[in-house]
Amino acid sequence: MLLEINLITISFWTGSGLLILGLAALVAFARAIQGPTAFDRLLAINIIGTIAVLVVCLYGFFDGRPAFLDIALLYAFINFIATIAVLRFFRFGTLGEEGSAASKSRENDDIWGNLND
Amino acid sequence: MHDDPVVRIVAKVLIPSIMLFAFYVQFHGDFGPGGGFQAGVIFASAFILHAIIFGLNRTRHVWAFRPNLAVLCVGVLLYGGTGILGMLGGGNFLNYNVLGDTPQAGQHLGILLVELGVGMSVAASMVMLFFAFAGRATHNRFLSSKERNDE
Repeated sequence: MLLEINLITISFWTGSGLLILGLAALVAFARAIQGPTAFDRLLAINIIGTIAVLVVCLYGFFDGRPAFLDIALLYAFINFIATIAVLRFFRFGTLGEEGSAASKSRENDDIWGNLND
Repeated sequence: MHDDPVVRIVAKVLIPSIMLFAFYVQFHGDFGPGGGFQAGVIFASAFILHAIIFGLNRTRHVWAFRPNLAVLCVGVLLYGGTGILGMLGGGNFLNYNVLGDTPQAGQHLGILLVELGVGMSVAASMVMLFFAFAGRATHNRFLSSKERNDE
């Protein structure tokens, strides 16, 4: 019921903006599924996160609720942390260690060379 | 990862901003979205970012286990203490009305203290959870080397 009311009150500009962002997210999602390497997928997921930030900002702006900007800012922070965490996990295999025996041996591996195999 | 200048500089800019944002969410919770739990998680995410980039050992130097445990316990005590304070003032447990001169002032103070306690405990437990999970590989290697030595 609430969802229907929201859909009716959404203005033309909000609707078209959300539609365009949704299409962009779909394109990025296709790359995330298709992506030949892990980095393509990671970049696609990062783009989807950025689009989510934009959607939150847009909806908050058109709905007249500036508190949505706080949520968008938080989403941007967490998006960055998540990307760095996944990148680190791909590079080192662990989340917390640096300079230990396991990560040292992985550190010397050429990751691009591994991917070209 | 700390030898990558881009990641390092961005993290140096972002970590204080995330902490400041956590305090904003903590103390602005009455007027906007937020509160103690969310602020605690955001504050802990700053330490998680530090640990991801600079390594767990450096983060353990910055934020050691014992102060973390102390913050966790002080947060719980602050929550419970505010509740007990309400009881001492003649109300029920966690009754804020008796804390100030007027019920409004008492509620303001009480909610601030309780949310501060929640934020402290949540931040400390999130950091502790991340340390426990991220340090598991080291711990397992330590255990297996100990087993080898025992044999």
